[in-house]
Amino acid sequence: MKDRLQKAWGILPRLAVAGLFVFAAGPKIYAPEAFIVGVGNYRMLPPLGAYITGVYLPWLELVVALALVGPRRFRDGAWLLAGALCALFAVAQSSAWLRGLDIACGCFGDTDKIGIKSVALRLGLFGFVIWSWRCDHGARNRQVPVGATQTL
Amino acid sequence: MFACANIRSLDYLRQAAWLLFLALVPAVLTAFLHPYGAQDIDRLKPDEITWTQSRKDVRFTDALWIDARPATAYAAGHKPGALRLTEADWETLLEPVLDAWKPGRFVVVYCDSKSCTASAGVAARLRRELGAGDIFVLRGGWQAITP
Repeated sequence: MKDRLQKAWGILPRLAVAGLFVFAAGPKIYAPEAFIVGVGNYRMLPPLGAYITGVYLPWLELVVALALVGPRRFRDGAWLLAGALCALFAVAQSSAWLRGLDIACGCFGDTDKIGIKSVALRLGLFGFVIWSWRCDHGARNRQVPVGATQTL
Repeated sequence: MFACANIRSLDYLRQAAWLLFLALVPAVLTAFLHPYGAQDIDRLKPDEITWTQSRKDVRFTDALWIDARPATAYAAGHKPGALRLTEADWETLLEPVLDAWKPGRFVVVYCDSKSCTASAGVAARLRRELGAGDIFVLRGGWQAITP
């Protein structure tokens, strides 16, 4: 029973993060134009940069989600990218909020405006990804038999 | 210990690099196959007009202008004749707008700049509540009026 709980503790947060990334990527892949305009509204990139970012980021989110639930081979890299993406979104939103921009977040293909709430949510999401990473890492370390060395 | 940490970090980075590359493939395909291209970023939406268009098009000569910015910004300066209407104060500000509007009269809503969303929100709600289609959003907002 305890083993099962420990196993679930390692898997559930990882599935939750993967689900969040699929949920975020889906609408943006389906209708990239809204996200491209949204990226441009942050006024951090020139139009071409906003276009490239707007087309590329949703696919990266989907690939990261698949790598989190897929074979272990890419999982560490997926955690690294998941953390980096959340940090990137938190920094971009904080910057827009501090500059007083009246724009939509666009994070989940939504039209919610940027404000203290959305920035706090993004920071919370970043914290959740880091915590999930630690859970997954801990669960994998527990699976290594005593005396054995983990293959890198 | 540090050598081990370095190997582990390299492993993380190598995996991340692979994932970055994997995402590149569908992204490039999207860029080539999707009809929305980089050149379309500045293309006007069907319900948008530019400041120049609004001045040249005779249908906008008698247009009703709606200012969707906060009260402080409106007080600091607004287009002559523009009425203030925001989603936050919808109930109190709508009545003067309804008094000034008549069916067939074009409406132009503006907010602060190109990136603000207030004008699009007000225009969408006006379309729903008035049932009128001639409601436009000014591209560039107040910044386009006073460059």
